[in-house]
Amino acid sequence: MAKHAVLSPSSAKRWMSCPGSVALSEGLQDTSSTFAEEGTAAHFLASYCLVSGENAAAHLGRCILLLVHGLTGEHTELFECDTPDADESPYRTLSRFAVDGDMADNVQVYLDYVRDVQRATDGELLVEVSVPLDHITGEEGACGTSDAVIVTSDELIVIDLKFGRGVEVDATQNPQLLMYASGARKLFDIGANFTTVRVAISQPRITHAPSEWSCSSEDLDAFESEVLQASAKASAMACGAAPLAFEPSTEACRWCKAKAKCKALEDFVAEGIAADFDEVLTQGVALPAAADLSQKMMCLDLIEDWCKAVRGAVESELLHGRPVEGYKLVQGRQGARAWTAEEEAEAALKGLKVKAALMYKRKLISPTDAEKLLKGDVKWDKLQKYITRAEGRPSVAPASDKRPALVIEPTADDFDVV
Amino acid sequence: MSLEQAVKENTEAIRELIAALKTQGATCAASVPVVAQPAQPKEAAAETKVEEPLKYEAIQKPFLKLVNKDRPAAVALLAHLGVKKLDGVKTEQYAEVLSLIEEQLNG
Repeated sequence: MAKHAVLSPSSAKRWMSCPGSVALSEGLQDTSSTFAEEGTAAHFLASYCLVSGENAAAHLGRCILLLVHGLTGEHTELFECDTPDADESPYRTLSRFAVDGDMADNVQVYLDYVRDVQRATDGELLVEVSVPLDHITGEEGACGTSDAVIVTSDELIVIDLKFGRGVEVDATQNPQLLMYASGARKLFDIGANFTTVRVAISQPRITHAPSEWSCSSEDLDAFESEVLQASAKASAMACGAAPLAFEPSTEACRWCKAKAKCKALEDFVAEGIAADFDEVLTQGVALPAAADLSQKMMCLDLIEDWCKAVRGAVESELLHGRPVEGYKLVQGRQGARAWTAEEEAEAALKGLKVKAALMYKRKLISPTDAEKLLKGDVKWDKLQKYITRAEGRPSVAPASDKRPALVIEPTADDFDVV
Repeated sequence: MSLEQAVKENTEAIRELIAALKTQGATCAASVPVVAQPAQPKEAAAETKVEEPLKYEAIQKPFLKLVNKDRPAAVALLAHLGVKKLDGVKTEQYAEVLSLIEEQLNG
């Protein structure tokens, strides 16, 4: 029977570079977030539309339910009107999302891209394909789900929808997509002779231009060998047949569930911080050389992630009633005041003879709200001249960022040793 | 117009009609064999069209659908045909393969 992989494609970046993380994450619960659940709803809408041939806007206003099976824990999604009789259904609703303009527009970008690729290649489009993974991870019956697979007689195309707004993901040598590609090749090789493999990521909330990367079938063979080696290591550590080895890094640790209890990460952070304290103690507060700054900057994300993970773990322990020495739960700051019953408060204000002009706030809608009202109408074009936006402030980004670098002329050094 | 005259005119009209029909009939009669003869090749052509060998793509797409739906069934189908991959199927087997695939997909 197909089962969700522990050595999963979505966490491949982690366990392929930090094999000990698999053992350390064992038994830790996956935490879901509203963002992740919204992504699941968007994936449901996307696959529904690809299968039905509809556009996303056809479902504007409909509600997508995220359900979980009471006995098996299996997750599923459906439109609200398709809901089986609630009394008889073994599923309970985890959350619901209305298909709004933002979701429909962004899902449509993905749909257009997938359909364009399908038309250009005249390949067979297969949606939500369950691909085998056990041939590269050794996990019996392990499978992953690829959002869209297009098969031609000699090319295999794997497309992934990412609905997040956070980190832009590049398709180049992306292990998650290459694992899907490996599984899809294993699945469909009896019906095609693949010479080329293309992987693509559509991340419409960050950019409308998809990230694509192609490689030969031989390159995919080489990747499979890498995965086999990494999975063998991780599995050996997970079953206690090999000593645990960790390789903390920004990429590997970003989504790792075991961050807060990882000694290797803790040591990494301590080393980074201790070095700075030493400098402070021995040299005074000085600006390090540019090369040192670069080195430190690379550690910052990881240190910040670790800090968040530790805070999260402490909170989780206390919320579960388990004491953490030196800390306790207290009542947080109260929320903003609100009327318990708006209509009654309104009547009371009127009764107190408060003038209408003072009782109500009248405010012009924002350009964003105006666009929602008038998009697609010529009236919206007429408003363009009244819209302005502030220039973005310069911000630090990694050298790999796709935006062009701002050219700043060096100024006199005002920041010597304090 | 008297009744006699009306009958006479009607009779003439009927005769003209018969003559016209005969003329057309002769044309038709003459053309029947001509039309009939090419009609056979036309039917034959239509049959030939049906029997025209299917292209590989015509079986590949539904086959991939079957693989996605039920890979063991797709493997069994290939085994039944004595091949390991779809491109090993002979052209003359395409029609049979297509029908087997459709049977599986609709089953």
